Amino acid sequence: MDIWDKSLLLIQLRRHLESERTVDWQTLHKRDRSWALAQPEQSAWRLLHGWLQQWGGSPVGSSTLLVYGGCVAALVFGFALMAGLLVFQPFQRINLLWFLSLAVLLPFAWWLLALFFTTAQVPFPLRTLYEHRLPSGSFPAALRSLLKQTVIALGQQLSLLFSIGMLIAFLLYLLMTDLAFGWSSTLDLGGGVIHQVTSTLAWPWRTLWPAAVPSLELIEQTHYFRAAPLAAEQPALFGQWWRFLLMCLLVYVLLPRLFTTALARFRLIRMHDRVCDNDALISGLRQRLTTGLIDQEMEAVDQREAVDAVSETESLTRRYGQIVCWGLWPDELIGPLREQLVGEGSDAVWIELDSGTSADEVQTSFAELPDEPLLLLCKGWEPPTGELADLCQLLGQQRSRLFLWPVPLSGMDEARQSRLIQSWQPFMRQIPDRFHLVSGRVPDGVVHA
Amino acid sequence: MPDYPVMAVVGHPNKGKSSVVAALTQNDQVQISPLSGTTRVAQHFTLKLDNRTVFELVDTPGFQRAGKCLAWLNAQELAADQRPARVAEFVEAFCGSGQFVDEVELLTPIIRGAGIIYVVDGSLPYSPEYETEMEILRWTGRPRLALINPIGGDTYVAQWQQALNQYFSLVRLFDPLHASFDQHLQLLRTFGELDAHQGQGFAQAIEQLERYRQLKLQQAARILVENLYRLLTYQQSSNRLEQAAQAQLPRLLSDEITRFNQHLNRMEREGQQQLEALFLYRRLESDIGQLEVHQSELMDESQWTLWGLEKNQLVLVSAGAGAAIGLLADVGLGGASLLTGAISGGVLGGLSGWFGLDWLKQQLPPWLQFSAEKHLLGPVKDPNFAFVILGRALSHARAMLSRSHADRERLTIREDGLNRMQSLELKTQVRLLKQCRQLVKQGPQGQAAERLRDWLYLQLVG
Repeated sequence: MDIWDKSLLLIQLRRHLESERTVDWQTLHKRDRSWALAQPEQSAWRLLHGWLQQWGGSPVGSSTLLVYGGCVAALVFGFALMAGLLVFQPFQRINLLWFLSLAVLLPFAWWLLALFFTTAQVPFPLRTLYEHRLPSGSFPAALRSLLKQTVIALGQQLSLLFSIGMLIAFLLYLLMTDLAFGWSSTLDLGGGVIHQVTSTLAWPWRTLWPAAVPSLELIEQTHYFRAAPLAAEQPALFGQWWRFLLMCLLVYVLLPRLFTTALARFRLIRMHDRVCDNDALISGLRQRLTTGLIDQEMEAVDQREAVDAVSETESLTRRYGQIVCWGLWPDELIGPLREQLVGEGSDAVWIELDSGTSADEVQTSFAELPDEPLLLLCKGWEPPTGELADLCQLLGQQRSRLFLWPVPLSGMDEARQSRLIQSWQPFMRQIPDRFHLVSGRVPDGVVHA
Repeated sequence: MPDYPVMAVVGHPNKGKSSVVAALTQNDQVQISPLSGTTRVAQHFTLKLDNRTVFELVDTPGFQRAGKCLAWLNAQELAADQRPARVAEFVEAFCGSGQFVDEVELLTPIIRGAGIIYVVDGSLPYSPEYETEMEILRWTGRPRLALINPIGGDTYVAQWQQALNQYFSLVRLFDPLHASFDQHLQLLRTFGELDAHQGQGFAQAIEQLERYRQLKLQQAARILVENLYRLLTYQQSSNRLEQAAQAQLPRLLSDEITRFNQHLNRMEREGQQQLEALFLYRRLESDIGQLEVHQSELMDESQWTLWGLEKNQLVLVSAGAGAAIGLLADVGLGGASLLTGAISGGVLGGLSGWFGLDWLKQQLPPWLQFSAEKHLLGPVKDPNFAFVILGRALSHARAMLSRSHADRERLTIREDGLNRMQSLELKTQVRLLKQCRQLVKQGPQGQAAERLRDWLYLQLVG
């Protein structure tokens, strides 16, 4: 997959993932990981591309035709420009000043301008214009820097091909035709000025290739005038400029482009990696595709619905003939309570039962006692259990008036206490109707009222 | 018997067994009720890595008739080695009979090989009645761990510890509503200690969970930075403000600022929801206040664009065009003009662009769709806005990360959390402000974003 496809892929991925921004991560991970596990071994980019294709993303190479078409066009334009410069010879001479301006200085100035927009943080008119022409919402703002880098790299590549086209044309014409270079100007510039300019331009290669540095003699001998006869004593001299011009093309047109193209491609590749690693949505997708799915699976079962039942509650009175204490209570809790309920002056019977007491024992102990109101004391801080429900069923058969009192734990805050007592409300539905729920703390005057 | 560890969470009714399961499986869809007896059948929760079960928790109903169950078990005189078989016999005898429904449900996974996590409430007093349940569990012969859950306080924790030590080889205090992720892992390590054969399975699960958590925190940092970028660069354009009469402006502007604030809040909430979705909070409601910016804090300007280019860009283009034409003239003169044409063309193009565009704007026909006059509100120019956003985002993320999946209350964001940014070292504050400014310029792929992500990750981990 080439770098243009990668840029396009990242933009399309981001656009697709925007719609899944707040979808439950686990659901996405499950979907993406199971898809990834079903895929053959392949590169990360292919995997991302394959993933997008599920949702109708464009196939690999969709940008290739456009980019390669642009590249061919740039090459042809470069070739055509150079061919035009070399073929158009109004006075059988190619004017060096024209040639240098159009084939060297103009591309070099364009390169400098592009370099300025590439490196300086100033608005890039072409990119802005390009973004403006995109349909609304089609470009993710978070990838603005990726778009900038892609446009820069593409621009550099097209310019490089343009330069290569120019160079190819120059070499072909050099080889196939007889090129005669000279210089001419209406102003009386003189060979000295031109020599100064060409020497400055040839400074980078003067030690490497001295033959490509034009001498003053060559400059003076190739000076021509429109009004003067075209006859020349040494026609070969007019062809000697080619070394200098070739080096100009290489050093001021091709090499800078080559360097900036390589740099732009390197930066674009790095940008791709950055987007993959840092973009919240794309890196999230990569993570989901490549890391094992940790999933909490919950078995579907039909649990009991919490019934928010409300039973009428009664206050504690002293009219209980029998008091049954259910369960094993700490002495410090049950002692004072017993003292208050069946203390001096009370004729109520106190019976202690727990889960170890059998049904027969319960029936026997109650058969001997009269049918009087019975108060069943339970720990209000513990939830009711099935064993208590069984006891209530037994007592319901023995007595006509029954009271169930979940005794609150002293010191517990009211809110907690009321939450615990809530569990007793639905419990009243499981036991005989003869039971009445008693609520509240032990009133001080209950015994002595 | 499965080749992965299975733990049955058992105990008296309403002691927080389901909360323990919800916290350990990070699943906020586990049914938790303040009323007792809502768990009727054993429910299996498996933790899977790529469809391979790493461990399983079984949420069971509470003991309802422990005394009678123990009495049945004790009905025969048995040597200690025969007791597990007797428990299995009990399950077989009453399975489907309608009797001991809860006991059968909770003992079934244990006789099939599950380890035992016995949950008690540390805020309520110990009672010898619990010994019946513990005795039944001892009969099963399975590895046992007791968890003291301080649902409403730790008043009786010491009392419980003394009692539980006699029945369980490992006793731990674990608050499912407030336990941190590290405490969850610590508990899983304890499960591993409980059964040496299954230790490897838990060690693997812990390693995977830790790595998974780390990746998610990194992802969270990315989301926070991206959301920060979106909020800091948000700009709202309006055509109607530009076209409105002077008298209507104050009312319209106030409407536009309200719309701006609504959009900011929507974007912020979207970022929060993205984090909640990442950490699997499906039912979260937070009490964080609304973001509000005022007109004085907003960039407020009119902008005219042609084909999407602003005036400065158009001037640049005009200057470039002028320079190009001038250069052609220079070339025409064979370079003798020494680029005078290009320079003067550029200057002329630039000047005519600068002065002429306002005139051109009036001359363009209204149907020209590429020309637009807009009133822009935002982005927020107050540099402290970045701090406000960061502070709010971090407070929400921290509150969410420290919240257990067993917690069903609203997410409470503490006020002091919002001011936490102000309490950072001055040097850090300056650095962060600088990075936020750079973030706006470079975008979320720049170096400033990278540094902010690193800083946020450390904040989330810490």
